[in-house]
Amino acid sequence: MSFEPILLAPQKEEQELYPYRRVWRTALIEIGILLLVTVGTVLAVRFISPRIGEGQRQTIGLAYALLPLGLWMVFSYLGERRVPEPRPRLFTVAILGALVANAVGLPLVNRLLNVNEWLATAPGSSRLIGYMLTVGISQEFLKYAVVRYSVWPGAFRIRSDGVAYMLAAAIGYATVVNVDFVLNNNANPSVYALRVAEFTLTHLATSTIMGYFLAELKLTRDTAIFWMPGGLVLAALLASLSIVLRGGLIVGGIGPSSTGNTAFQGLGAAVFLVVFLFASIYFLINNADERAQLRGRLDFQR
Amino acid sequence: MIEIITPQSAELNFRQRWASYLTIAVAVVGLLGGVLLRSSIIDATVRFENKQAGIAVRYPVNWLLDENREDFVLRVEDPAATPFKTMLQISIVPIGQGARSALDILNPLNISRATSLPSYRTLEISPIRLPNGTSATQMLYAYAASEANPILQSIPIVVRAIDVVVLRSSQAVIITYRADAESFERNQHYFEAFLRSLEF
Repeated sequence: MSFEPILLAPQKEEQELYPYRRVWRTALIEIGILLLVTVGTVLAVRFISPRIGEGQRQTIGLAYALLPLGLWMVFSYLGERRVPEPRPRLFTVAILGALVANAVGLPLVNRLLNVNEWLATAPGSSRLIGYMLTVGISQEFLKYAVVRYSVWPGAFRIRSDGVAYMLAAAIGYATVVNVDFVLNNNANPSVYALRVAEFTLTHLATSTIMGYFLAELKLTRDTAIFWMPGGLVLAALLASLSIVLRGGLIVGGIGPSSTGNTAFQGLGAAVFLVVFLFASIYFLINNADERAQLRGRLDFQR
Repeated sequence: MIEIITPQSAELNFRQRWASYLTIAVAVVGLLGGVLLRSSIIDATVRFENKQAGIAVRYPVNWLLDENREDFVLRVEDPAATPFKTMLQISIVPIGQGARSALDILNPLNISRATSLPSYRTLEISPIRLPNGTSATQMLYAYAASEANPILQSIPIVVRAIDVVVLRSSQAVIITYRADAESFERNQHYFEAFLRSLEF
């Protein structure tokens, strides 16, 4: 029988300080605020119907287009500067994401391939494959290339670094897509808010895939060389699926009570994609971290 | 502050190098596949045959077909084109024994169009040879099209068009292509493919 001594002033167990910014927490806060603003705008337009002039519309649209970048600056970028081990060049990656979108991504998709002209009326399966091979591949590869050729592998220390950098590239890319949409479409604020939220959430969601694979390639010894290209194909497929689903979901059913447009369903698809991919990648990263820890302990015991 | 990006010093291993090369290869192959799919969708056609008129032709697959009206045998329009529906049309006009050249068809056509189409202008008339070797006459013209629905207020659209006239025994076959001036040249490949597939 053994007795544990009862100490009057027990020694405090020192908690290990996590030196990095928690990527998932800040990303979820940003997404939550973006969704609140979007839903608030749609409801306000639906129930109050404010009178807004054409010039004001575009100003409001631009504010919506820049909102995701603003939220990312406040929560992710400034948050990064408050932790002991900040991730370097995060803002540079976001700027590079915006630059490649404006210089390569949008001209390629809208002018050279002109996807809306031939894919919008194509049958379902061709549309899915078409968007995957054009919009999906180009945008996912460009975001990957920004991270791969600017900060990888030197800046990658833990697995969530991959997600953090890819989210930065995605925010830059999505901001340019959002601004392009606002400048080329004259719509009411709820349309701008919904489209900005859909574009941004889809970019954030699909970027986590390449982020995970980039981190695995740097930090794991036995990663197969096909994982990275496989990740690109998967990300492109999911980006395409979201475009096709959004197109199908926002068109309402035909009926006497139907307005012909169910915009919230399109947003729902983007939210589902974010929840699904964030949960999956979070699980995979945690799993890989735990396995690495276990492996480290076993190596130490030997 | 100017931040100079310097490449990280970490040297890549075999897996990392080849994973990067393969990713680039997949992106390039994927985009090439996209370009091929684009041309296969854009150039996809459906065969149209009218045995009574003795005409067979292929038209773009997603275009809307209208046939056997009083003034044409076939008319197809691109439903996605805005603001003017790009159109291909074949009409057959009976000609008398006295008709010697395509001008005998085009001149009355010009007169009737000048009264029915606003700002109608003939731009050029020239002889051409069709892909199947048949001699024909081509007329380029333009006019201003306005929205048929008066409630939809819109400015007139400048339409550019081509008529190709082929004389055969007692008939003249008129093949027409019309598109708004801005997309005329971009969509002209539809007309060229249409002419290539035409069988009398």
